Amino acid sequence: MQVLNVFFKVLKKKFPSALAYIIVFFSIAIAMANMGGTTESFEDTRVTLSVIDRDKTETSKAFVDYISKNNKVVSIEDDERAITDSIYNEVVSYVVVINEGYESKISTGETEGLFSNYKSPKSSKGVFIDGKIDLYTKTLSAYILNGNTTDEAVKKTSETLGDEVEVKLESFKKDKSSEFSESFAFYFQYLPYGILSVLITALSPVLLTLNKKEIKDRTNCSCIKFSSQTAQMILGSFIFAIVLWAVFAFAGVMMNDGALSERHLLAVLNSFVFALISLAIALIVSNLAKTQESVGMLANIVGLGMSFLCGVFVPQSLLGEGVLNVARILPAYWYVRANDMLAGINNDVYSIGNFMKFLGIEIAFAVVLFVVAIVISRMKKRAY
Amino acid sequence: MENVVVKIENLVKKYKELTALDHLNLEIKEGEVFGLLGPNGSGKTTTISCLLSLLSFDEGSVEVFGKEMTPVNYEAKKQIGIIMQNVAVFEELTVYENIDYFCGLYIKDKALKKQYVEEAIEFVGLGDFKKFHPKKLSGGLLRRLNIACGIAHKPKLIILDEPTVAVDPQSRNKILEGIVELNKQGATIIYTSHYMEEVEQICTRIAIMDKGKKIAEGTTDQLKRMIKNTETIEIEVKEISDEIISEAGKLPHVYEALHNDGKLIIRCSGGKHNLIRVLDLLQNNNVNFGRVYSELPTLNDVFLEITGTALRDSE
Repeated sequence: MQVLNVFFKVLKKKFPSALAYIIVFFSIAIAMANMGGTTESFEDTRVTLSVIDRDKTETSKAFVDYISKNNKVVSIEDDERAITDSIYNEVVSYVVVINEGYESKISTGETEGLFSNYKSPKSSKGVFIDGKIDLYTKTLSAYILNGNTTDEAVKKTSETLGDEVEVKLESFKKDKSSEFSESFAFYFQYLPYGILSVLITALSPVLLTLNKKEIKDRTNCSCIKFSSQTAQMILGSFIFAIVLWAVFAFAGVMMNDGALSERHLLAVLNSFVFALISLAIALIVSNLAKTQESVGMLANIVGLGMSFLCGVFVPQSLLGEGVLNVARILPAYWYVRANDMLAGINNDVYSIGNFMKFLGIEIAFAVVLFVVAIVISRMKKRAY
Repeated sequence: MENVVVKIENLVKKYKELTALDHLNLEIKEGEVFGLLGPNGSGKTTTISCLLSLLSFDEGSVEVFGKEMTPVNYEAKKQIGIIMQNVAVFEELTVYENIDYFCGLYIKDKALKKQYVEEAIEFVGLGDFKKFHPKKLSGGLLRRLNIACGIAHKPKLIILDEPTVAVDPQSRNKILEGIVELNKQGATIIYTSHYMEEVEQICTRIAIMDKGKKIAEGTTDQLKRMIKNTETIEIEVKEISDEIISEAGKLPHVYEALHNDGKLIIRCSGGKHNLIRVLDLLQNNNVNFGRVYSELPTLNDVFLEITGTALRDSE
């Protein structure tokens, strides 16, 4: 096992260069897990505002009731200086001034010149209140133009806009039955980037070293069989890939407090198949890269490229159809799709059958990539 | 009768249009230090690669220790040590680990391997550098490590392919002394080089190669006897008339006289006191001259006379 021993000795020297990827991976996973777990309630935007009613009619009072709801109303004097001071001193973000003649104008369905409003130019909240006012007046106007009296229209508008919209928080924990914690789902979604980058960065340089012409010639001149050399290098690569996967998977399970349901186990299995895919890609890179430096470049291109295209960093639901069509020819796409299905965050209905379909596609990718690695290796040997 | 260690018959190796080896025949006997001398691109390394089955060949046969050499002739490989032209060691391993790894490819017994590794380190004088990584070694020490990796398992046949390229004179001498010592210990040596002085210094028999062909073979004396030249006289002369050069060419045993680059060059074949006769001629004609050299023929002269090109010119 001379070749295997030297494989691990060289790996020990090359591994520190992969540490950066491990640190980046765990930093992202931990950060995303922490961010994802805190938002569990929804609160509508509240704006501090003042309402000055110069019309003082039932219709204008109905508007005051509407705009005061869910906002903090502060009383100020009806004076131009007082209004601008309160905006300037940030006492309020918005001052709604209902112009005299509001009722008479709106009764005809007219929506122009109803208000003289003041708002802080820096405040985004002003836009929000503008929207609310616009919505109210247009709704009211629509009811009036449809033949309702002003009183009826005010009542219907208040009912329509007063309805509370039920806000349901959507997050990674969409499907309760998935039992996936957000941290677990995030972690396994980012795993392809971690495994792929570390395997390419650490493993490819080792194989590159062992296959260096001078070293290879000297080893080939010895009495160790060529098949034994190759077998020992492949064994070393598999051991490293499996140990790396086991460490990553164990860390993922620990992030989920060690809980392992059927779906968790399938996610772990999914990651194992992806580790094999990453191993095959690392073998191809070691055959294609000419120098140790080019390995780092290829690790970034393959690792980041595949991660961005396939929905590792950005949810697949946010990717364009064109990107997804390209991503389908990459193994990470199917990994993410299987993982999303297990986490219940995509439209795929969870079933063992569906999971096996995705896993089967990944296994097919792994087989093809291993075959490509072998073919390239043989072509290189023949050329040399 | 001496045992034949390597027998190469009618070896032909082609790279598309280029014939790298053209019906090469070699026979290397046990205990020899056999030199393969030739300029770069003459086919030395290709010969070694075919001999080691690192390269396939188009025609001919290679036998090592009496058996056909193939990539799976592990019995023969066990007895061969190879020191390549380019240093073949792991940057990631220490001096000790490197020798231990390459020795371990041949020696399975741990205690014996340890002993051999220590002996190899001692032999190349790297005792103080055991824990050094190759990057920390000078060019000469690196070459010695390269040699240690190739000989640690005590092979019977050691092949050294240009082991002194880019090595300082001190390390070069140390390496050459080491090779002679290995030969004394019983190893047959095949030594390739384009440095004729080295080959002359250590090789018991030499084959001169050019353009994939063996153009001459024999001991140093045998090779030198093959050529007309027995003495080359060089005299620093700034100005000399064509008549005097022509007269010098007519002196007894002189077969060539020419003035080149401020030097009068006289080539002689046999005879004695050639130098005295040439100096008398110059003195009688009042020709001023500087330093005078008289050299016996070198392997470069052999190469020059056979190929018409100087060994160094063709590199």
